[in-house]
Amino acid sequence: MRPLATMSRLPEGLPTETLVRRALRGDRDAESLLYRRYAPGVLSTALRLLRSHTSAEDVVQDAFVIGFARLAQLKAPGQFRAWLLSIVVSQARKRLRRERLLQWVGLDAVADAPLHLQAVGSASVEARGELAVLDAMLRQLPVAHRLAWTLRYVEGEKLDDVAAAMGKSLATTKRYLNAAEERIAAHVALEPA
Amino acid sequence: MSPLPRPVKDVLAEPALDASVKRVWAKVQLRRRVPAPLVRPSLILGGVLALAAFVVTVWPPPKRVVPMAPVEAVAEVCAPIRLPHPSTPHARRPTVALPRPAGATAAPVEADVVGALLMSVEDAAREGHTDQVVAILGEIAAHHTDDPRAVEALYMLGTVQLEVLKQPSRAAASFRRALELSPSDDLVPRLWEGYEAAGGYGNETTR
Repeated sequence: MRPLATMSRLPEGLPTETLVRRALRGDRDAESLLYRRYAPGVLSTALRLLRSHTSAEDVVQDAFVIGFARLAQLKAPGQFRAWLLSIVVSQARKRLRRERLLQWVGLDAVADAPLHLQAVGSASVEARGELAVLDAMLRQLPVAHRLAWTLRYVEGEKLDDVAAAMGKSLATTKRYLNAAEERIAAHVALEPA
Repeated sequence: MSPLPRPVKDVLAEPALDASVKRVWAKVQLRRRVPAPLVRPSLILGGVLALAAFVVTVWPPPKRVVPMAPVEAVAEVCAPIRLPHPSTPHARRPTVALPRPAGATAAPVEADVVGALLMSVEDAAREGHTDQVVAILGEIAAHHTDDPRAVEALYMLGTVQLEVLKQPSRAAASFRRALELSPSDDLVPRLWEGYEAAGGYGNETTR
C-alpha cells in the first residue's frame, strides 16, 4: 500500500477532467491525486453533517470506494466534486437514519464533534451557546431537512448544488430549507437568509 | 449579541484532518483491492425466484399418514424436558420409559432425555434466552453425567459462562468438571483451552 505523501507521481496541477479520464483507464496515480484533492473538503463537510469523526471517516471512505467503482457513470468529469458530494450526502443520510432508529431504542450515537466544539478559538461565549442550540435543533429535524439546511447555511453551498447533492428537485429542496428554517429561526439568532 | 453568520462555517474552525485523510485513504485502497463479491444481488434474486417456483410446483410432498401416540404417553415422555422452576431444588430425574402397550412383547423404548434437553437448549439459544440455556445445560451437567453428551453440555455451559455471561470463575469450574468426566481426546484440547481462558486453577467457583 502506498503512503499518502508519495501516492501520486502526477503533477499536482492536472485538471480534474484529466484525472477522472485517467482514473477511468485504471490509473491509480490519478485516483490518488483525486483523493488528495477532494478528500479533506468532503471530510470536513461530512464532519459538520454528522458531528462524529468516526462516522465522517466511514462515510467518506464509502463515498470514495463507491465513487471510484462507479466513475464511468460520471457524465461531466469536471463535476467530480459535486458528484462525490452527492454520494457523501446519500451515505450520510443512510447513516443518520440508522442513528435515528438507534435513538428510538435508546442507543444514542456518539457525537464527538458538535458544532459548538468546532467553533473558532475567537468565537464568543454567546456564539458558542447559539451553536449549541443550533446543533440541538438540527438533531431534531427530519434527516433530509437537516442535511439540506446544513449544506445550504452551514457549508454555504449554492441552492442548485444543494439540490444536486440531495438528489432532489429545486422545489423540494426549497421546501426542506423553508421547513428547517422555520424551526431553527425560532430558537437561534441567525443573520437573515 | 451578534447573530450567527451565514454560512455558519465562518465561525467554525477548519478541523485538523490530516490523520483522518491518511487513515481513510489506507482503508479505501484496501477495499479497492478486494474483488467484488461473486454473489451479486441479481443472482440472489434469481435463486429466490427459482426456490419460489420449486415450492409452488413441487412442494409440499405427499403427506404420509403417521399413527399418533396416545396423548398420555407423549405427555409422560415430555415431562422431564420441562424446565425446573428456579426456586425448586434440582432433583435427579430418572430416565423415563414409554409405557408398554397392552399385549406388546418388545422391550420398552427409553426416552432420550438428554437429547430432548439439548434440543431445548438450541431452541432457547435461538430465542436468545441465555438464562434458560444455562439452566438446561446445568440440568444436564447435574443429573445426567452418565450420558457421554454431558461433557459436551459442560463445554457449552463453560463457553456461555465465559463469553456471554463474563463469569470466568464459573466457566473454569464447568470446564474442569468436563475434563474430569474423561472426555474423548478431541475435546480435551478445547476444554483445556477454555479452562485456561477462564483463569484455570484457583479461579473456580461452582456458584
